[in-house]
Amino acid sequence: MSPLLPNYLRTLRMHWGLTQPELAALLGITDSALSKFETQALAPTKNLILGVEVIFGRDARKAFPALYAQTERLIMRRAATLAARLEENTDDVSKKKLKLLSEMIERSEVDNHHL
Amino acid sequence: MNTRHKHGLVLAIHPTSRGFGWALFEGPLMPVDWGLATVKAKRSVRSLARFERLLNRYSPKVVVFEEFSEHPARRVLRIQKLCHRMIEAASERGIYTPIYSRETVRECFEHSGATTRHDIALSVAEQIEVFRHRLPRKRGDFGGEDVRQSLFDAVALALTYFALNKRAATQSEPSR
Repeated sequence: MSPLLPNYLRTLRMHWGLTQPELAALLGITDSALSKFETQALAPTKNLILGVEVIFGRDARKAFPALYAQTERLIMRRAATLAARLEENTDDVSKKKLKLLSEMIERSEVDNHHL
Repeated sequence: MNTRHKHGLVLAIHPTSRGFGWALFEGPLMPVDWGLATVKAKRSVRSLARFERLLNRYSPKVVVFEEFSEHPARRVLRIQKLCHRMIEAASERGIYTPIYSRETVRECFEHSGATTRHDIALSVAEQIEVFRHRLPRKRGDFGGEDVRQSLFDAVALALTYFALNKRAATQSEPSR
């Protein structure tokens, strides 16, 4: 799947031939709430994201690409701020933290390149 | 750039007397949404409203139609007018709207030996697993057409679009 749609909830449901009431029952939400999630009238909740991963085996990056990208952008911005602060330090813990941040950025670049 | 990003979302529409079948693809053999829009009264107005809702929700780059005004696939006047209005609505949004004849669709499925619309539906179901359980029943001598046929007609149109684009891209590649 590619991130041409903001979320792939409806696609996943249709791929497996599930009806809205069936998937809503699995997720423990109402049909109407599921419909709103599918049409992006409601922002996905953490229960929905985790529920989709349990049911379809799709993580948030693949099932909710728009939300994932938005979260990723925000975290990267904060990471840049933290990295700037850590670069002044020379201790081992700071180096370890910088390594995590650089791996995080690298991982994001690689994943986005593959999409 | 991979194929799905090159095309953007491709929507295919196949109007019927009771609404229209539609299929949305993000790449060849990659359907993301599909359905049958069924309308009972004010059929053209409601069909157009449903169509515009699809355009607003998905913002496709391409909307594919089947030839509707030329012989031998001329449709009834209401469907012809509806198709014109749909094309107009899509064009106003800057969407590319190719129109393919049944013959062109048939040619694209020639390799699978499909000649009738039902054969093409079978070939579609063979290629794309998710449509298998929605396969329309074969039309009998006296029975009406299965409503699901229009969904498969729409899918066939989308696949024709991808096949023709692939062919055009191959032909335009410089020989080495």
